[in-house]
Amino acid sequence: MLDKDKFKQAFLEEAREILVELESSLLALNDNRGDNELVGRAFRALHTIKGSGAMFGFDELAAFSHNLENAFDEVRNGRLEVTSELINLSLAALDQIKAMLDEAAGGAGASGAASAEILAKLRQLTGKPETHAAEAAPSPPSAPPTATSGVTRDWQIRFCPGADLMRAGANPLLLLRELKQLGSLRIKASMAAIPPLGELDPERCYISWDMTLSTSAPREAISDVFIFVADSCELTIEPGTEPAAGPASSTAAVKSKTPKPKFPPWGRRASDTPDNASSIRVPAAKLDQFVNLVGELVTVQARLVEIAARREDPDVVAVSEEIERLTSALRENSISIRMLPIRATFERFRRLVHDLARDLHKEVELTIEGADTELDKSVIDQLNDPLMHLIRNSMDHGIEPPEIRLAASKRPSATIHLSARHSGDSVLISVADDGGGIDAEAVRNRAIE
Amino acid sequence: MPVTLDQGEGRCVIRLDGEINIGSAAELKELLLQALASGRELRIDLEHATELDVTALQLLWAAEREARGSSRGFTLAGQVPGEISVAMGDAGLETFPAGVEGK
Repeated sequence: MLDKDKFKQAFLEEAREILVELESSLLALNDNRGDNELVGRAFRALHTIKGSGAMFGFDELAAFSHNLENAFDEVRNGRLEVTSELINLSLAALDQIKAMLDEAAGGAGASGAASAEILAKLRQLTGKPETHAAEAAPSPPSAPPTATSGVTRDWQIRFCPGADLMRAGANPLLLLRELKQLGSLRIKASMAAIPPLGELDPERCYISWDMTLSTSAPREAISDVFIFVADSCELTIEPGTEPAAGPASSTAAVKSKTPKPKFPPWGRRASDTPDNASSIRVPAAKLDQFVNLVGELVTVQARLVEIAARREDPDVVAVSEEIERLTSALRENSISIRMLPIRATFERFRRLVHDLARDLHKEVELTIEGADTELDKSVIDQLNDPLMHLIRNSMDHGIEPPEIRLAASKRPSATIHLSARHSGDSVLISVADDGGGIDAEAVRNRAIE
Repeated sequence: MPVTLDQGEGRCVIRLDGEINIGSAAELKELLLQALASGRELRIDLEHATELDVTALQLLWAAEREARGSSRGFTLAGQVPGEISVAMGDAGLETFPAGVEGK
């Protein structure tokens, strides 16, 4: 029915990408615990997953994410400290969300017991009761708990849903209800755009709304309500002419006019730059098929060159040369499409290093160089396992525990350096560490055993 | 069937049952067009409806506009459930359709 399944599928893909960002934010936060920008990124990632998850009917996932999001709201508002425990718990929760996404995509089921255990630990950490699915899910996207500025003021809000907003599974009424939770809302629907019944597209929203909201919540809280539909609507949020109470605000008029729909409708991520806006998502299998077809074309074109040379017909030779030029350009183009920066593969190891360091009671920092180096997708796919084994090996055997490093006049925290660089027509990838190296004697003894 | 049409003498009654949302919007539109084409008075029975989303609200609004434009009656049959009145209020449509009275 409609495009809903397609959007659900796109949500699952998008959510996985958001989780990669979230993981990266959490690991960076572990190293920079006072970085509010990272806390905000983690919060927004969770908020997006929760809201869009609920919008597409993944209520369990939404409720689970909501609890974690609340924890990060506490951090955001200075009521909860970033600790190793919170980071590790958040990473475990992230794995659980991944399992839920896999389950939604037809994979193995996520363990309910694991969810319960994570939420129980989260409760202990935050001292707050768990938010149940019934509270988080039925009103997607639910409002993020919001810091209030203490001064109640009026905001003029205009909300015009885009043509595809309803088809994407969004419900404007839920957004309006959510907005209502922020304060006192006066709302006026404009029906002027509704066409005659015979011309009306029944799956499109023609109503737009002008609202006045009196709230002590900041502007960000208002725009957060619309975060999942930001790309499928026109939204303006402007301070009212006079604050409802308190001193006159020095805030400049803020106007946010979102662009016409370009992205899936559950919202734009911080990393979505104009460059991303002009890119499209293509399944890897389709790309492989394209490259294979170009390969076959190159073979056929070589035969054409041979035939043209044999016949010595100037017209055929001219066409053959033209096709050779085009085929060559097409081949180069298809190869360049498959080239990907190695960044994602490298960044993935931050989590491995973090988890292993925790389990082995070692302190290890992963540094990355040359992450923008591009490699063919098929090569990148095959690099993951060997790199993982090299890093595990380094952490298990090469890097010493902090006390031994200190005794050897080294910093207690070890470094693993991952790098990629071009060398002639090759790309050199290296894994280096400042550990004790291979213990030749131990290897010899083990070999004799 | 969430949306049904009864054509009686002098008037058509469209009954909305349960959740009326984008999934039933095309059907609701067809029945509204049929009812309007019949030239009879149009009555909308919301008594058993539990939810009306934006697509349903704007269809009813467009139908009411056309019925009134051609001097045909457009009324609500029975009582409107409280949650529907709340939904209309939430959408900023307290005065629509004329004659809505919550339970």
